Amino acid sequence: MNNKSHVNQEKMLTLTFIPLAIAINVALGAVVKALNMPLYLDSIGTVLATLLFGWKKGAIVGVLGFVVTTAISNPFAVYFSLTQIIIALFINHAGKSGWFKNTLSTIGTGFVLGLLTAIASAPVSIIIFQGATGNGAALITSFFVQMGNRIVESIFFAGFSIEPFDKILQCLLAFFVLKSIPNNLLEKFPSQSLRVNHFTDNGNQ
Amino acid sequence: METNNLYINPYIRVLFAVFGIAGTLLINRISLLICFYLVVILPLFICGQQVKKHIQLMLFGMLPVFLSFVLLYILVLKGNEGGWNFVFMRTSKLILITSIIQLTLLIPAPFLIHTFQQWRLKEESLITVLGSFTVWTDIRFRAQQILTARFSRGFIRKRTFTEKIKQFPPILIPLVIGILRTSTERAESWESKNILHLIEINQTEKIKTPLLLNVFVCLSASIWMITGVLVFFIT
Repeated sequence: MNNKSHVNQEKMLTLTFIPLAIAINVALGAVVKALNMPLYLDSIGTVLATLLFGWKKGAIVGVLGFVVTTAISNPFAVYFSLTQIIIALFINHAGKSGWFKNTLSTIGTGFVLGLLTAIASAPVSIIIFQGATGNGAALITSFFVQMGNRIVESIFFAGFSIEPFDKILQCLLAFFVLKSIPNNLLEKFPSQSLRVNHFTDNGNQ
Repeated sequence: METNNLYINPYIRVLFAVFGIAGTLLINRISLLICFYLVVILPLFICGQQVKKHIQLMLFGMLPVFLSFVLLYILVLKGNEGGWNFVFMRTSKLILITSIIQLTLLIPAPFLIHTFQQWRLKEESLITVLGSFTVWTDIRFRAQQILTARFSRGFIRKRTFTEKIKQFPPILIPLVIGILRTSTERAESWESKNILHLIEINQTEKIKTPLLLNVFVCLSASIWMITGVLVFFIT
């Protein structure tokens, strides 16, 4: 009975958290737009949800968040949904392996994540947009084409120039946010990643 | 039974998305693409009272894409890989596909639950999707409130890139803590109310479908798809 109640509570916590994590992705996207920043910062909700609940919930947050974003602000977000699944898978692995233990390892995690997302996003940029994505990446692609590279190569180079910086920032923000959350609140979330990376006191014991 | 002139049947929404996108992918004539946009897409946005959102999409989504196509394929590549015809074709197709996706996803709030139920979403998946389409407005409002407060208190003095980056932790930390508290409190409340059972037994009021609008959406998507197949095999 007690176990059933615990499972129910966990299910409810997931149900209430997922829409809010999606909202973080959407809201921060709007703030980035308001501040006119040449970044994406649209996956912090995905990173947090993955660290708190695992990759499946993280992927749901990422994909649904992009669907909602497509309807309301960025019409092209939905094409990059696969990238969100890759982010969730990688962060899940990184979280369980303890790659969020300190600032330096978090920067490393963000860098590798950036390289992965650059590779995952490139086919979409090539097939759907032919390199003309309408953001900072398109300008950098044009620069590489001007330097004599082919379009496909230039799209990859542009991705490698922007994504690692963006993802390092997102991982660092998620790291500092989790570090500043009171312990009694975090302990309610059944996550191995939180313990392995010492975000909760249980991990320090 | 409630009647609403903006209601598009959930199945017709899906049919419109599938046929609309397929037709657009098959057709390679700019004149036909523009015609479909002017005759079907634009009137549907006007009819659905979503013109403002569509203009935002065009200004902040499509215009930068068009400009980057011009930059890359006309200015940098000097028209060697397609030229203006290629730029207009790609942009028109992107405008159409994106508008079709937006029309499918922009479901007026009173019809959200009914539409998702018709799309066979149940219990947990229904709550999740419903929540993701409704909660973001509140969180965005909270984030903007924190940002405005920091601007008005003078915490953001210079509007440089690094100064802006520094604003994220003070926005994110209270936002995420608030969200975690809300979700744990709501989880306890939902569990005690047995919300999954309540959702299961809930029957939303049936909505009477406005015939003319739905027939127009269904027919236009079907004709577009047939035209696409014909054009593709003839040319």
